[in-house]
Amino acid sequence: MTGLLAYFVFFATIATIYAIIVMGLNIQWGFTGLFNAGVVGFYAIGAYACAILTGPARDTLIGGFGMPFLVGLAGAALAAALAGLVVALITLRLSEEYLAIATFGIGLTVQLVALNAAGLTGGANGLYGLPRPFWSLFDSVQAFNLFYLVFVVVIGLLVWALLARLVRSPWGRLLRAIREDDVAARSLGKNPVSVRVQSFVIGSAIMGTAGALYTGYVGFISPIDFIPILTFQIWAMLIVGGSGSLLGGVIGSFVIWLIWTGSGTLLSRLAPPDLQAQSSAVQVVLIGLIIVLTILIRPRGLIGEKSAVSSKK
Amino acid sequence: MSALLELTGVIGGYSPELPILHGIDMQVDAGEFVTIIGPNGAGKSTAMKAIAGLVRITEGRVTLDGRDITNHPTEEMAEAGMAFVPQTANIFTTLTIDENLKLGAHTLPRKQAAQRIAQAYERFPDLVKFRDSAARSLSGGQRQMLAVARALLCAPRLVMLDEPSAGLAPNIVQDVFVMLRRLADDGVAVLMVEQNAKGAMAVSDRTYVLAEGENRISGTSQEMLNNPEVKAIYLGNAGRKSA
Amino acid sequence: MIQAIADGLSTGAIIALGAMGVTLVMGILRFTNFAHAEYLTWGAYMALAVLSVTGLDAGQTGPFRFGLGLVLATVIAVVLTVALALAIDYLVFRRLRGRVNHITLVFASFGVALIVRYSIHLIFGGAAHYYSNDLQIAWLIGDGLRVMPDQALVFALALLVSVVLFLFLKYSALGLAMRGVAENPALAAINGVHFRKILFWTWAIGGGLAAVSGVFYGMTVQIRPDMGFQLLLPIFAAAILGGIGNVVGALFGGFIVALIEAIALLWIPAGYKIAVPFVVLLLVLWLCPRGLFKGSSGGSK
Ligand SMILES: Nc1ncnc2c1ncn2[C@@H]1O[C@H](COP(=O)(O)OP(=O)(O)O)[C@@H](O)[C@H]1O
Ligand SMILES: [Mg+2]
Repeated sequence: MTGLLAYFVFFATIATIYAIIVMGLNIQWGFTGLFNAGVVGFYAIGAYACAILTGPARDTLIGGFGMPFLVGLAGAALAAALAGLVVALITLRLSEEYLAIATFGIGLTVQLVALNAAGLTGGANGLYGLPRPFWSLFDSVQAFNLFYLVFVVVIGLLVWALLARLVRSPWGRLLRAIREDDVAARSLGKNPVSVRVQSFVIGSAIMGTAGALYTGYVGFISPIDFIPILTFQIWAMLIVGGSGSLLGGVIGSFVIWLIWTGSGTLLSRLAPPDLQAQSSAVQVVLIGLIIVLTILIRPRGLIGEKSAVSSKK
Repeated sequence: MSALLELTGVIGGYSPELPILHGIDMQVDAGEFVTIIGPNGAGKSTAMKAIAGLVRITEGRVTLDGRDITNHPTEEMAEAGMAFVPQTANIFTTLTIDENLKLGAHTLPRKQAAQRIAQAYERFPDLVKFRDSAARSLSGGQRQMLAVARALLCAPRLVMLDEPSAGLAPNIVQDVFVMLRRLADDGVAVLMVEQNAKGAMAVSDRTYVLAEGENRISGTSQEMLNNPEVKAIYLGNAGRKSA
Repeated sequence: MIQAIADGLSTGAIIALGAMGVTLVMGILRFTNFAHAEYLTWGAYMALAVLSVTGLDAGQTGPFRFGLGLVLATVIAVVLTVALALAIDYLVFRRLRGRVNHITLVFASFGVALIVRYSIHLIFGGAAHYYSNDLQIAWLIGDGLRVMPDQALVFALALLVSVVLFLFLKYSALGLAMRGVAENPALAAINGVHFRKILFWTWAIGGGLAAVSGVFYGMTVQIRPDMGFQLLLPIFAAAILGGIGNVVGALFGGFIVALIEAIALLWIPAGYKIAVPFVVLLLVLWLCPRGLFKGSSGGSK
């Protein structure tokens, strides 16, 4: 495999993992109108949960249960779902911005725990030497990487199929009804709060799953993988693609990830060495601008057909 | 063009796709007392909000003294000589009575404001002892008094009231109607939405019946009281229609 | 313990100033502005820029490192922060207000926060800065309690500012109109209150308080691009604890959050510092979502 192809495989794998997070966010925001400001937190919870479940035992660590990867995957989804459940139960009966504030806090807190709870997370050094699923079946890294891309794409398609079904089911119609008109849904005898909680928890579980996929791919995670900016990258992917559109979300993931990595490469070539640190700030400003400008100019996103802003108040 | 307030073919609603008012025509002359009645959901409140600039008018016009005030900013209503007492949330419950009145008079010069507030307390002496308590502690009748007192502070030429008698004891309802009648006799035009059709028609000069966002019947209140259709629908069991 | 309380009081003053601005904006303009904390950062850096452009020294007043230079810089920083807040409202929030679901405004404020924070990073670099490099000798009070004069000054000035704000809201015509809009914007309009004027003054006060808070943080801690980001949760926790729209509540909320944080850090590792206000926030939302001092209005919804 040539270097370029290898890079493409790497790029596509990460972009697909992000596309899965975007799907989780899509059900929360695109279909239900719930604002999650701590996406990275749920993703990190999944990644660490998987690492702790599947990782090798080590004296210095509490975790390391050496379980199979599929258990790690399920555990990741469960752990993230649980975190989502707690936040949702506390905030969803209140004004909707409290969810935004609380999830923002989750994002920060998870990073703190990752950094400081060294006994569980390995602290700043992270967890390493984590098993990669089916690694032993392949005789080269390239072959594994190619396999893993297919694996991630398959999981992505499964999540897609699940969401597409959910959205078309009676439950999905209920979601839309609640988003449009809380009072009407209530008068049908449905409790909008509990439906919102369900939607938020499903979205969180999907984000956690994506985290496990990341762990399985790189075999090494540390707090640097879960910096707050990731939340905004995911948001940019969703809104550029057009929230409420599953296809749009996937395309948005690839586009934004291309812009991010591309601008990073460009800046590191162009910026003088003493300004390297500052040049990465340009990338973040770019993400901020993409978010604000999309909301202002094309609230329906560039691809998706549905409104990104859950309709007029 | 002698009408003080005139609505011509007003169409509008809470969103452009879904008009609630389908072409309302209405006139109120200076010093005239006009009642609007109609079933629940007829668009009576919406019509008042449209005049006040709180609901968007997509077609038709509203004029005050011949001047076009269609979709006029609500903020400038007081300066134009109009006052409005909405059906709900018509006082600031977190502010004191005094603060409610001060806010109602804040567009006036300081001295005049103080004078008018003093007059308001004279007109509604029941409010005096609550001056410094939060308006949320007032009873239903007192709240309505405060809302009306506030509306009159800027000496409007036209007062609009949306169901001022709702939730009041029958004897107080009569007081409110009599007070509004006096106001009209003093030259202030009154436009009132009421569920208490009989009582309202008894004190007002003219009455409009709205239904489904359209004018139905209109005439002098005297005629309307004797109109068989009005009688059958709105007076047969007066008050029962209110919800 | 007493030392922790003393330190908590000066941090509390800084949080309180930020929270009073946030609560005012939430109560009157009815949305949670996640960019608010960046206004603190901006204010702190603007004061720094004024000092470095004019070549002025922060100066010294008695024992305090708050001389003529920094006072002047603070005044200019306030003006520039208000300008930023108004510009952002003009460019972003105004275009969305009333047109989209209000949580979309919250979303936009996230994007704005990123742009502001990292623009500052880009312009000034990521390193920490200080207004004054002079060392300050702590006051020794009783046995063992050490208080930096600047901390005491910040505490006193914050109290002063909040008293002035309280009197303004309570007794001035403009303050009355602001409280009216906070409770019921439509009724305020019927009363002839011009929303644009209230909008202007809300940002002016919120931005001004943020700038002062940022300068105070710079005086007693340091100036860094992520200072606002670090203060965001404590500020929200204080505002919610105090009851949305309640300025006095936000003042107490700020002190309560800072004191809990300072005392908790006696037992838990310093690395978890930011998690403390978050836990406070969750507890408040869970147990008494309207705050301890009940909001003056229906909150931001
Ligand atoms: N704030 C609102 N948003 C959307 N529709 C409304 C609103 N207020 C009233 N409506 C609708 O407008 C119609 C007329 O209501 P309204 O003018 O309040 O009736 P009335 O005052 O005659 O009882 C009703 O169908 C009602 O559902
Ligand atoms: Mg009505």
